[in-house]
Amino acid sequence: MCGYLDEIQEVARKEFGLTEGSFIKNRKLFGRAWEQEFDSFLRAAFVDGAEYRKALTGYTTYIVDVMRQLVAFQKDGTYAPLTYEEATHKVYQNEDRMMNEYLPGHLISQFLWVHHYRHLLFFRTFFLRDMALSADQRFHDVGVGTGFYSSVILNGLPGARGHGWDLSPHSLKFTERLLSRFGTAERYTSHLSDILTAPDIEPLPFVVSVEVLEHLEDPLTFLIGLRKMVAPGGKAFITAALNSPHEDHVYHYRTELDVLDQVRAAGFHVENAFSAYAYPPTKRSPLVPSVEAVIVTT
Amino acid sequence: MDELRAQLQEVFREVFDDEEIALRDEMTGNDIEGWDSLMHLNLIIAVESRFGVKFATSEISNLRNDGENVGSMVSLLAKKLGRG
Repeated sequence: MCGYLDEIQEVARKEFGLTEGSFIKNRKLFGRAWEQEFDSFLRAAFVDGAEYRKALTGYTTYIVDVMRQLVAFQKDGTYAPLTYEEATHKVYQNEDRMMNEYLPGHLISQFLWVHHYRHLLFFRTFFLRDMALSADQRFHDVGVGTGFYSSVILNGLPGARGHGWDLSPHSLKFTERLLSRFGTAERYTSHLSDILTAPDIEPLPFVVSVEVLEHLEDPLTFLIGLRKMVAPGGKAFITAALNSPHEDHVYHYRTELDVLDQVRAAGFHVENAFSAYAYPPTKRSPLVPSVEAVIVTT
Repeated sequence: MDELRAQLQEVFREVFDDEEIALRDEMTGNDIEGWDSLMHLNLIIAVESRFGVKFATSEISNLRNDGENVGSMVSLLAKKLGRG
């Protein structure tokens, strides 16, 4: 039974028509497992109609904005110039925008965007599995965003304990609320701090940093800092968005190799890599947004 | 077919790459092959460019709601152009 998912899809059909196609497509593509997992997630994350409508509104805004920028992007293949400071002012420090639109929309995209969900499957199969086999399941999540990946770890591993790092107080607040909904917040510590300047960060066996790199002006320096957070023998799960113009995407990764080369330049050894695309290329949109994920060791 | 509908039909034909499209007000996403969310956004952006108008996010989304059709788009466009 996926009654809550059915209810929300029906609301999408009537009130958020642009989003309904993603529900239909992913039901066909990922089947029963996706339906059951998404239903359970929705029940915990969005407890009533007001909350899931907020998420659908945010998701709608997100995809319209992305598509508008993609049309311009197809013409010259470059992102509009943007500094991290500008993105911070426009998005990350804007409480109303973050709590009511950006974060709820991003959160629901983890299930509604094909490439996001494929990355979750990759993460579960090749990273969470290794975490489950480890005696020490402590982790850092750097640039928590919505807190989704922290929640996946804490939900999946009752012995895991996490540290979430972000420069946006709203991201941390949103994450704490999400984890509270799942009853895992007591195993999590939030840090409103820059990992490059925070003193005495204890390296842990597992580090996660999901779709952070493209938001930075200097992702290589960030990756070098991230490597210091991985304990000897540990591993990290790192992802980056490619060819994905967005209002807060600063650094443009054009190919999978751009990400792999940079991760290696930071001193990581690439153990596994996975690419997922948003949709097949078309005549009008030959440049397709994608996400590259790597599992790396030190 | 009035001028507005004729121009809109040209945009549809160009976006969907199908010269056979004969636009009718009662048409919905089910009547034109490939009219999914992605193509809807491509279509809207092409309409904006052709007519020099701008649709709000909510307007774009609402045009995909159950019960909406080509006629809804024509009405909204006519209103924006001051012809409604």
